[in-house]
Amino acid sequence: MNLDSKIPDGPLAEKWTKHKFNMKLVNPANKRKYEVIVVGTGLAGASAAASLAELGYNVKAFCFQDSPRRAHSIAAQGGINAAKNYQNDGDSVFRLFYDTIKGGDYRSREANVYRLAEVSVNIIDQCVAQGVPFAREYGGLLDNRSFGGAQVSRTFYARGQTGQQLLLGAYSALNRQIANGKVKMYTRSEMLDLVLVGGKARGIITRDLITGKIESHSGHAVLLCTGGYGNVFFLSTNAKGSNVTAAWRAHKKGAYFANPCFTQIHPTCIPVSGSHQSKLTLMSESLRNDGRVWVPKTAIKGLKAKDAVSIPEADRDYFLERKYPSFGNLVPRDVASRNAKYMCDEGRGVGSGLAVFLDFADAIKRDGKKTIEAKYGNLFDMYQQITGDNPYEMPMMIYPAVHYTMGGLWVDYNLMTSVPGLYALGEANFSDHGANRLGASALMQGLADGYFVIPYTLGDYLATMPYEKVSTDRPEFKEAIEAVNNRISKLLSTRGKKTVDEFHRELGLLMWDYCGMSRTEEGLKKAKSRIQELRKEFWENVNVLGGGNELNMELEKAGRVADFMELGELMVDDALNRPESCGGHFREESQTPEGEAKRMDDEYSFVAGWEYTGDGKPENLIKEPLIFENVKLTQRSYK
Amino acid sequence: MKITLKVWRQKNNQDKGRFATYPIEDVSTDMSFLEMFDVLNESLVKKGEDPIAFDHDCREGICGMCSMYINGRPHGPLQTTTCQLHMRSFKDGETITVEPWRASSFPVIKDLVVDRTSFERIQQAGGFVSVNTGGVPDANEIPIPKRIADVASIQQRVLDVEHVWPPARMLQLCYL
Repeated sequence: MNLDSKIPDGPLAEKWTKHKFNMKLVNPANKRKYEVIVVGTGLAGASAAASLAELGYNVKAFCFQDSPRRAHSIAAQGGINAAKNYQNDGDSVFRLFYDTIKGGDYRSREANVYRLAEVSVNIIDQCVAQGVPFAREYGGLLDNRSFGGAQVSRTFYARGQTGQQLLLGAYSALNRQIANGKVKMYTRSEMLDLVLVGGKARGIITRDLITGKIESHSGHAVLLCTGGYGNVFFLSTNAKGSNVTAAWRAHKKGAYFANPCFTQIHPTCIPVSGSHQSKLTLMSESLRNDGRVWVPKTAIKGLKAKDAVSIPEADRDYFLERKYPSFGNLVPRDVASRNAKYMCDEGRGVGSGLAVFLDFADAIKRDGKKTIEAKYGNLFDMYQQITGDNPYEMPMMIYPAVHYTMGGLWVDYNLMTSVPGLYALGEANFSDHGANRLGASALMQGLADGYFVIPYTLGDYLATMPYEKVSTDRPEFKEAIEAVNNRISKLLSTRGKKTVDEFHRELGLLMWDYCGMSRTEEGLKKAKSRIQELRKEFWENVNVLGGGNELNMELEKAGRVADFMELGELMVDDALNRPESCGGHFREESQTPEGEAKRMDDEYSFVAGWEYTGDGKPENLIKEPLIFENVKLTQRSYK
Repeated sequence: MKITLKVWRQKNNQDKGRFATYPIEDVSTDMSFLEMFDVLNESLVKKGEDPIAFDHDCREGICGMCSMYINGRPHGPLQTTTCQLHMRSFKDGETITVEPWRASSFPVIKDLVVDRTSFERIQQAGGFVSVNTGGVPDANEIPIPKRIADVASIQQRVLDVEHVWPPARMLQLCYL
């Protein structure tokens, strides 16, 4: 099979407009005859479900949390980009497009990214009309800030809680449609399989997490808006419940998984405090605007933050300022993360050994405590709450953590996966961020897909579909239910010696060490064989107590971890298959003399789409070449 | 440090429920309250006992999924979410009592997990904005005074994340 991206012809700036006109429409009176399944209710899912219901489609929406508004989109802090050029500083749709393509290290599709930049302006209008309380100037107009090293101010924000405010807007739109009876909402429901009828996605199998009941749902199309897979690393900034199960089940039913090794690691997170650690907390990278990153010149074992204050300037190594004199502490996320790791690898890490200092003493001396408090007060409070240390008096300790996954289900220009009728939106797809995502772009993509792309592209597909519903009594549904039940019984009957979390921690550590901030062929090969062993051991030795017909959180975790193990192996294969470095994927074998990620554009300018071929069999690699007609590929340098 | 946990155990909503006592040693002061529960649950599974069910998700104080009445207060002694409460807020040797939300509108599902769909019903009864996707004016055509935008964002946080329920109303008054 080929990967046909279905990118429309014509000049970049006209593709989407032209495509919108060329797509088939569903008559308003006929929309109610179609039923659409939406899995996941974060920004992408809630906005899609609400918008489709407004158009007249019947929607069934599912989330594993007890309310759609818990989705992890809620935790996004920084903001949302849009090419409004309200600041009169030279921004434009083309500049946002260009920055996103370049930021993704030239591993995303021009047409998709251009469309994203184009609809970004509509998102802000939409959210303001809903009442999202974006930050404002005294004159009452919207405020913007520059974010993540962008040279224009195009980021809209609502205090440090932009994701929360945007999600509440989408959730409000969703609630309106639930009240109207156009959306049927299923909370505490987890999708455990995809059902294909005649080669098309026609339904899903879910588990009611309270009663344990396995249920079938049929529809004319299925939208996966299920977020990213960062929790494969066990420790990440994701919510504990974030998982890959829906996407992975779809992958096993024929949806290609694209660029799984492209993951983003965020430099300014609170370090691990002990073996009990369950998740990592991110602090906005705006901290690097004023904080200086350092470690001692010579290793000091177990150096505490309160003792760092007395270390003289001459004995400190401000390593980012030393290595990158022009960008200093503001180098991109991947560069900052990797250098922190190098310092710790050298043994110069502080605290537990896996941390570096982020010091505000000079900023406080220069601008006064009041100014720093106004800028970062909430972050400083959060840090003190978690660590017990006061960052006004001593440096913070930070360490990188997994934050976002650029890879995901392969989709074409219409957001359809390689399975007809199955779509992927938001972080769950791979399409817009290439090998690295820019700050404030995740919220933009989730809402672009849900509010302004899928309402158009889904109609083009549904217009070709008969109105008839498929019955959930069909053998395809029965078989899927049986497979789900068998898997659950297997997990519950193993009664081995190791807990689910023990397996997950081990997997996470392997992924972090060998498929994390920097990767080598040797390490990846080692990881691959150890993941295979771990997978085998999991099915022989996992201990899941309780039954299937009740609220059983260990069982939920076990199913998710089993899928993470399979995904982990594919991530390693993908990383092995890409010997170049690009964006967040740093292969030590491929770097410039300056130690920067070195791409190999002639050979690796493609999307790696992986096709599942059967349990335990190697997956098939299908390449979608990336063609650049509007940007010139350049090598990054931050010296 | 050492603590003793007195936790509400209830198999399902038909079960009468009871308190169970768990002495825990080697509690690190850097653990979050939920991490302390993780460690306890791991040890329960190892012993073949049912782990304690509790709700949680983001573990960074924003999603509103975690709950628990801790020593008679929602989310414990600090004005924060349970996931942001750390063991350093307790004394060595302390006995800590943990119950589910105690309100008839939040029936217990299992152990510390309660059904909060009553909140959804309030929102769906009309607590939403009636704006369709598309066809809206340019964002800057709706100017809103900064003061109002600021208050709204604080209010919304308090109202929408029921972390601090039931003192939400009280907190809101403080902010206003």
